[in-house]
Amino acid sequence: MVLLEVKSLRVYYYTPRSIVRAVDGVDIYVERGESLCIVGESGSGKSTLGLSIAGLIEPPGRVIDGEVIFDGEVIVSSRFTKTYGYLGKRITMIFQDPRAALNPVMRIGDQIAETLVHSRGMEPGMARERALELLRSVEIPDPNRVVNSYPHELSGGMAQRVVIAIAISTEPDLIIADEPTSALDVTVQAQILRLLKRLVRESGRSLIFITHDLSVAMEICDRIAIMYAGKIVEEGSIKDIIEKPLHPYTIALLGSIPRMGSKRSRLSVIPGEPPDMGSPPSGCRFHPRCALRFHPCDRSEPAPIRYIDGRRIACFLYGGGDEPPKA
Amino acid sequence: MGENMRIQLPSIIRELLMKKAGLAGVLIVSIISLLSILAPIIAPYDPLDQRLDERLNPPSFRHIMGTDKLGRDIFSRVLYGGRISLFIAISSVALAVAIGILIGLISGYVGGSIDNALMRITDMFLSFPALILALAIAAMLRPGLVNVIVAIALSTWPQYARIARAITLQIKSEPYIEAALSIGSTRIRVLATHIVPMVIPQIMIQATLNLGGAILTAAGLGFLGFGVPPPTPEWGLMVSEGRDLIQSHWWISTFPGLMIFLSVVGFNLIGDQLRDILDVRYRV
Amino acid sequence: MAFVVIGIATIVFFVTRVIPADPIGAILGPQAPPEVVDRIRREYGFDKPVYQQYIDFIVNLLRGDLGRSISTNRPVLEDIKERLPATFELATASLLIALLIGIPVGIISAIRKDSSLDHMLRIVSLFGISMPVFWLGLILLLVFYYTLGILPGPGRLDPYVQEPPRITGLITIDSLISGNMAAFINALLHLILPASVLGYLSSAYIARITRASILETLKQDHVRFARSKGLPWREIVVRHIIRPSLIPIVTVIGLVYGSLLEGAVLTETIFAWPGLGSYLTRAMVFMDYNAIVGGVIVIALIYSIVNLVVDIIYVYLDPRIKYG
Repeated sequence: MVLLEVKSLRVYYYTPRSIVRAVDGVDIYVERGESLCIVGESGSGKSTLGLSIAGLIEPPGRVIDGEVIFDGEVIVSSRFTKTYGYLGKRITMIFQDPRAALNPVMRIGDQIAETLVHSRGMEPGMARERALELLRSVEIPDPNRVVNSYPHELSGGMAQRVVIAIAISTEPDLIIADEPTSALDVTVQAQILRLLKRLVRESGRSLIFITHDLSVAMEICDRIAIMYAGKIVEEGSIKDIIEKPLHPYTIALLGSIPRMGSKRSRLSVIPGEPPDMGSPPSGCRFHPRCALRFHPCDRSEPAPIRYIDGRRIACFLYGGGDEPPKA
Repeated sequence: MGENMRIQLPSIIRELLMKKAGLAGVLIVSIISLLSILAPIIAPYDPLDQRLDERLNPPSFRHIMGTDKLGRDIFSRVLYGGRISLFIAISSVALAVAIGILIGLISGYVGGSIDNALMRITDMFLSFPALILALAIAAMLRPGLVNVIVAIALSTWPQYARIARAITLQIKSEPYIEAALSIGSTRIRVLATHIVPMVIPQIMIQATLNLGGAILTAAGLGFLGFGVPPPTPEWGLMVSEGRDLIQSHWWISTFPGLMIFLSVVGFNLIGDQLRDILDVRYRV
Repeated sequence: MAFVVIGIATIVFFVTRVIPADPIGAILGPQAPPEVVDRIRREYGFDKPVYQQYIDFIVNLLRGDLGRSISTNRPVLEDIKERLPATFELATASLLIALLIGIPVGIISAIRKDSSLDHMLRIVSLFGISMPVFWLGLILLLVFYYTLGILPGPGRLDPYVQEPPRITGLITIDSLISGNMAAFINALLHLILPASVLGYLSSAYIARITRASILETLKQDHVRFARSKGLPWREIVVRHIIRPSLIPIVTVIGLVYGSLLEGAVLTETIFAWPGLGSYLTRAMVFMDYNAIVGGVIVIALIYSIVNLVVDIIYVYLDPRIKYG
């Protein structure tokens, strides 16, 4: 049962120099209890996508076209943003740098309690109690100390646990996590991932996990959408994508993951640079860096099509142009 | 940042002129400067010329800003006063910058107990509100143009010393400095060729931002009677000359004060715009 | 701290001894017989060599003795103690006005950035930091007293009003304490004009700093996170924007106080305000060395103490800073 649907979303940033088409025609969906990963390089628009779903786009950014539909209601469109009652309650977010996300002059306990007081109308005393419970549920060893601490006194991992605690405190249906582990040490990353995965699965929540790291995505997601230059280039179940990647970009991404015992002795690096989103390449946006490009690729953009196993792919190799599919 | 800055200067100036505030500031400052420079040509009367039969006249066609208690044309005096006020402001900032850079460089580069001592002295100077110190110095020296400049400079150099020292400390440990020293460059040469070019742009920015304040300080000293001595027209002095007559002869104090206000607004507009531009460019 | 005080004093001392002028001769005038001049000079210790004068000066300073005023013939410390409350009253009233106007203006300006309201407020603030304080004082005096007559003229109290007993030296407070409402109102009215002039200029400075501080805070991630929590905008503004922004503003208050002291020096004579500022300017006119030195030292001391207090408050307010 589909919980969230994003239809033809376009979000542009109007800067003095150019118009940055950060999200340029994106269609994705998330079912109840499902974890979807959005994977892309920096500049691919994945963070903007996450923010747009939450309705947090601010000028100079604007939703130009498309809709975000949550549980049947349109909450974001080019005409309005109606996230009141959803954001902070049924949809919550986790950001990349946990210590920057927390208010530096407010105690942790107060920051957790404020969400509870506002979203659930709790009494401050009860909220404090609940805050301690929540801290325990995110595996913080000494909740009593943490509840009275300030963000700068916590390590990155602890701070992110606090942020997660806040995110789950309202028992949301959907959590949007924007690179939650990128700012953490590798060992801590694994812990946080495991924690997040457990919390999401146990409660049947949906998760949108945004990352640039495909190996991280493999740990936590059911489905994955690969994003490049503002567009989704491939989308499918994690199993399908890993075992049989279709889009050249996905193939290249998989080739650049270090794997133990792999026969490859070198990591393959994707040649070229990420595109300038103020003036993206013509045609298929990946074509300048694509090893498999052929002649329609610089001329027009491939439309996403449904592949045989239910996946979506936007690449001329698989059709979508005037020529029959090559592969 | 220093090297970068020099190359970027033309584009910074261009951006300055493109924004409304910056353009307005540049216009105001240019007009006032122009009027001051051309004072000998534009001024209808000699600023020191006393016409006792035309004393205390309100603004009219003959005297567009009226006359003061000695019958001198206020408009002419305001024009010539501009030269004095602008000259004092620029000179005092320049002198303060020179002193500040010198002390800051030495302090930062030599380090150790000299650094400590110089910084203590800097702190001591900073424990006075600037005007008070300038006033004390100016009051003790005989009234005069040079003395006013010295007084203001001595009360404002510490901030430049701090900037110079901070930058020097930052650069001092950079590898290319060590490299230069190891191939035999003398310390002075290193200072001059590597450190100074990095110090100057930052300080110039700060100095530009302070020009408005310098005009106000100079006017304040003039108002209290510790600036250039009469009969030289200086805006602050002119305001004080009209003080006792303000009730019946408002124009004597109002116009010179207005000029102070307008020129400081001009410099501050430029300063604000400059700060905005550089903020955007040098965001970490 | 004591080191700084001595340093201040040293600077002031040498500044005043730079020119080998003869203050006694200047004050007594050329008609005075030389023996009288010499005697008085000896009395004030100006006949001793400079280094000796300096040592005496420092020693006396540490004992709290600032010497005698040459023009009033009273101990400088006494004079200053008498005049200090007037300036304190003025500075405090001005600071209150500056904070009550400046901070809200800065907040509104930042939150409604680039709106026409913001532009208007920024222009008013720009004018505020560009105006010569003595000029504004004169103009407002002209308009509100001489022309419109709605505010009283120079001085702290009208002569026909009964002065309250001197308890704190602040006429407003003293009249409240002694129940003299007529004096209270009158003193307040007299305070309005000078405090408004100084207050406006300082409020402009505070508004600008507040605006900048809030704009900085708005860029930070925790504001976005607070929004993602679905909190009402008002709560976000108060708890997540204003509170963290206030801390840098506190540090500025020390500087603002310094400019208030400068403003006092420049405007007390205009408003016939018998405070430290007019004392100092008068001393300078009369070349009253001891009074000048004493006055400048006291002002510098007040400034240093205020900044020290501000630093302490800052450390206390910002949980990120640990003292030590």
